[in-house]
Amino acid sequence: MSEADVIVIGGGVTGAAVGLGLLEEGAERVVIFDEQLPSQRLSRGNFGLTWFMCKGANNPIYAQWCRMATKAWPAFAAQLMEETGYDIELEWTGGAVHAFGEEQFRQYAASVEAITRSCREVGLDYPVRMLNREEFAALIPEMPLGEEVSGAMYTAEQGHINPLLLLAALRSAFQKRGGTYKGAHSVSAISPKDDGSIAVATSRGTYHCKKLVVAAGHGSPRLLTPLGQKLPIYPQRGQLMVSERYQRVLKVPVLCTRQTPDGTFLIGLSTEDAALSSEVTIDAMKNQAANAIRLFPLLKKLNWTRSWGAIRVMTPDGAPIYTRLDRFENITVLALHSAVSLTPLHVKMIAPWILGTNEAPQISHFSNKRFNV
Amino acid sequence: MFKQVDTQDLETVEVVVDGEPRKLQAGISVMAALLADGELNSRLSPTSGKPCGPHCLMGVCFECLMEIDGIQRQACTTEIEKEMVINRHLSETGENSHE
Amino acid sequence: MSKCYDVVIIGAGPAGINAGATLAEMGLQVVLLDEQQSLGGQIYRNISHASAELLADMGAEYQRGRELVARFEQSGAGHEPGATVWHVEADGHVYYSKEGTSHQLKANYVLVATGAMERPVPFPGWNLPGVMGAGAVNNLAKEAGLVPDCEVALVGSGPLLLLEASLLIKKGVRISTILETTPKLPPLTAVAKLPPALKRMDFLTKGLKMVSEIKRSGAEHYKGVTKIKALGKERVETVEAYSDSEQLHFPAGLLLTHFGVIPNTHIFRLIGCHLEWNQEQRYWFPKADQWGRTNFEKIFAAGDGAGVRGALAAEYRGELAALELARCLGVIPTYERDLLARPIREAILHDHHPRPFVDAVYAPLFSKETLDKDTVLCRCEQVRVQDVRKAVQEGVRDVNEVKIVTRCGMGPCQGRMCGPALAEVMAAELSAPPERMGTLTVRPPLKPIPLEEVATMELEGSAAQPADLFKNQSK
Ligand SMILES: Cc1cc2nc3c(=O)[nH]c(=O)nc-3n(C[C@H](O)[C@H](O)[C@H](O)COP(=O)(O)OP(=O)(O)OC[C@H]3O[C@@H](n4cnc5c(N)ncnc54)[C@H](O)[C@@H]3O)c2cc1C
Ligand SMILES: Cc1cc2nc3c(=O)[nH]c(=O)nc-3n(C[C@H](O)[C@H](O)[C@H](O)COP(=O)(O)OP(=O)(O)OC[C@H]3O[C@@H](n4cnc5c(N)ncnc54)[C@H](O)[C@@H]3O)c2cc1C
Ligand code: FES
Repeated sequence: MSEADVIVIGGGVTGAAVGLGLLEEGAERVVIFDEQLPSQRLSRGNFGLTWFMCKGANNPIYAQWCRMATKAWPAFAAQLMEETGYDIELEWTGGAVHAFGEEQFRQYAASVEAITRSCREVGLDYPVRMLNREEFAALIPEMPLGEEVSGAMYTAEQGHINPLLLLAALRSAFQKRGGTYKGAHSVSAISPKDDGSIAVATSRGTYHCKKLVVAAGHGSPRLLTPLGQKLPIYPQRGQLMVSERYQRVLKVPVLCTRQTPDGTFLIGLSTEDAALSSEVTIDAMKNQAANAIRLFPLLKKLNWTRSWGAIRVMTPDGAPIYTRLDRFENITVLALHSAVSLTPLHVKMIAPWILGTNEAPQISHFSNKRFNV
Repeated sequence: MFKQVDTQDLETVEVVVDGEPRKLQAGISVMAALLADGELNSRLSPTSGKPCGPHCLMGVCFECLMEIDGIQRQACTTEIEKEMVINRHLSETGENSHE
Repeated sequence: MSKCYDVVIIGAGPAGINAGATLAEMGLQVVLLDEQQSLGGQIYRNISHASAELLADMGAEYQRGRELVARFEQSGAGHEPGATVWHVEADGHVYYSKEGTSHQLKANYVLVATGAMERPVPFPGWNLPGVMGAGAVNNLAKEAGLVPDCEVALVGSGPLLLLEASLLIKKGVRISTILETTPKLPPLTAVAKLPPALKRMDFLTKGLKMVSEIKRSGAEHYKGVTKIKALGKERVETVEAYSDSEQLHFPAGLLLTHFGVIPNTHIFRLIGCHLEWNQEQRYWFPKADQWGRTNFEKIFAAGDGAGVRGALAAEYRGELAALELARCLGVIPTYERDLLARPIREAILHDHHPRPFVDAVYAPLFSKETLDKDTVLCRCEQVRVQDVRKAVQEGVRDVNEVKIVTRCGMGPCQGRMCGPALAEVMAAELSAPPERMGTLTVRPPLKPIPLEEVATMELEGSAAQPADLFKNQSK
């Protein structure tokens, strides 16, 4: 097939979710092209949190959007698992951000108050509270806390999943519903035609479509520049490390350490300015390991088995970019951080908006135009 | 399974294997010492629960991982030392075999 | 111990030892790191402590290692035994773990001489205890003086399989069968490569002698066998296979496998070295110039890790790398490097004559049928051939993408045991060449180390930036 109704460029978690949503919303002939470049591994290298906590401190609409997504997660996961047979390992046990010392504890408490206030202005609750050391310890009784831990910021209304299996499940659901997924196909150019159709040149032939979605992560700018479109995103590296398996002791994920159902620990929180280098640095490994041990001394004797780096797609204000191109209304661009957390909305709300069948009121706030004012 | 060709002046070390004190051949790797003493199993696979045995004896396959002095190590690249505490957790049913 | 060296050499096999001795003799600061406790690598494992009996058993080639080690020990080169290298950076930083502490070294140049490994070929039951590499039993003999005390079966292909069989026969071990997957008749490609091999009658005669020894022992010997299976409950008990349509069944107290030797490229992939594909032998090796320099100015490769050519060639190639390193470091001029290199290159050529023929005879075979759907491909994570096929059917086209969907290659061995076969399964499924499937990405650590060890290690000039995930969201 070289004719499609909708083509999605990029089969990361954003592209795969939107592709699935398009089919659910009744679109036919949907094709996803995914290069599977080992260097663009954002959807393959993230932490797997499905969180809203701390997000949108500067932007209540974004805070609301994140809350909507987390609320939708359990039902969405159930449907996805039912449809595909993939167990995406959803655990809805809440989530915490630990604090070391009293000073950090006070800062966190202040930030909870500030976000709660700003959410209230738009009629939204923010179910996050501070736990003191004893309460935090009681939350994870099998995982002793390090001496310096003073408490944590906590919410019961979020969780974590296996992001790799999420990607596989989205891809599988997309194909089960009749979508065409083309791995190892690289898009080299987008050419809008006078008749309103769009030609998409790939490494294996040219395809035509009526609507196009660009969700190619850091691969998007190169495709958009020839169309005269600048995408205001910047790279930020994160590095993660993983341990060998251990008996299940940490059942609530913490921002920098979580234990997966199969027993491995994922460790790490780095936000580095390293341009597009996804290299692992031993500096970061040392820091992250030391930090994790400071939090959970039990990790000391566990083996570190693997690490990686991945490059976040960041926007200037932290909120997603969901935008239609000015000159080509049938081309939609999606570029964002936290795409794992937002997956249910990408399926259920972004896809209908792309097709023009329904538009959630928040979406217009995420247009690229906000950066022009 | 394996026998010693040259049994003259073999030195031994005392170690603890799976909770039992044991005398094993000195100067060789933990895995070789266990093989020399009639053992073939290294651990239970954390994914299948079935027993594993060493495969390569050169540090490649990681089938010889076992807890040595509290840390999971490759027994074929770790030299045996006196008073080592070696745990293979061969009888555990749980998924994870530490502690 | 110093923290800065002219050359850090990783791997104390013939390549590393010879390079180390050559460099130290020229007055350069070198250190040789190896995770083994003594010098020798795979071939000369434990040679310094070998008993007279072992030396006699292993023959003159093994003894050569003694001279190498003696020269090294005289040379003044440093040696860190029990040092497991877990990371190398292209700028010359080397990280290793020794006795529970990790260290960082800075090298002007790094010579990687980490050798080869047996080609892992999955078949049903290959993960049963008692199924071991033929090299494993060879190592046990060298390291610990152990020989099998039960009936042994051997399966696979390649001269080292027959060599191991003949060594075992010599030691009086009972061999129930030798099952070779090598075709009964050599392929035409091999016949064409015979003439240069004839220049080395000494080599060929030795091979023939080995085969006749095996014959005399009365061990059942089959060629062209297919569908190998190891059977047993808690451990291997028997081996099953087919010769033409005849089903074979033999007892196996131990089942020894050997399907040839491939470079262990993990360390090169970790550094980011460019690899090349050897079509006939179906393996990856680091791209390097005639001195062993990789695409990185500071990273050199020598020995079987740079392409499998055997122990002698490893020794020679270690020396060639050393000459170029000495030139780079300003100790010898170019003309002298070339002068010293000339006889070494001649020796390499002489050694190489029979190899193309032998390689062609034992070229590995792979097809869709070789890999049974229920075979466990990834031993660590219990991923089966059929799981990989399913992923491919769902559009996955790169080995790393298979890994994230199936966990194939995610376990402790980090794909050392499943990586090559994974690419073969995908390639067969897609009717594409295996080299197009990519290679599993390798990241630190090369070998697992405790978190506390990395948390407490000393690093030169740390430059970590404090993390703040939400910095762009504050007003
Ligand atoms: C360390 C780290 C931890 C994170 N943790 C979390 C977390 O816990 N929770 C959370 O919600 N988010 C997290 N994130 C962010 C999350 O990973 C990303 O938001 C998400 O993966 C983005 O997915 P994407 O599909 O938009 O982009 P990508 O994953 O980059 O997908 C783009 C795809 O497009 C393909 N492509 C590119 N160019 C082309 C082309 N020309 N032709 C064809 N295909 C092309 C690429 O190969 C790729 O597959 C984390 C990120 C990092 C780095
Ligand atoms: C299992 C096996 C059995 C063999 N048997 C025979 C035989 O019987 N006869 C024969 O002629 N040839 C045999 N060979 C081939 C022969 O071993 C090689 O040709 C020769 O050893 C190559 O020498 P080298 O210097 O390249 O590397 P090697 O001798 O392989 O030495 C590499 C060294 O690097 C070390 N090393 C690897 N990774 C690390 C790391 N991360 N950190 C620290 N150290 C590391 C290893 O411990 C090893 O000592 C065998 C090969 C193998 C793999
Ligand atoms: S037996 Fe293979 S790593 Fe030890």
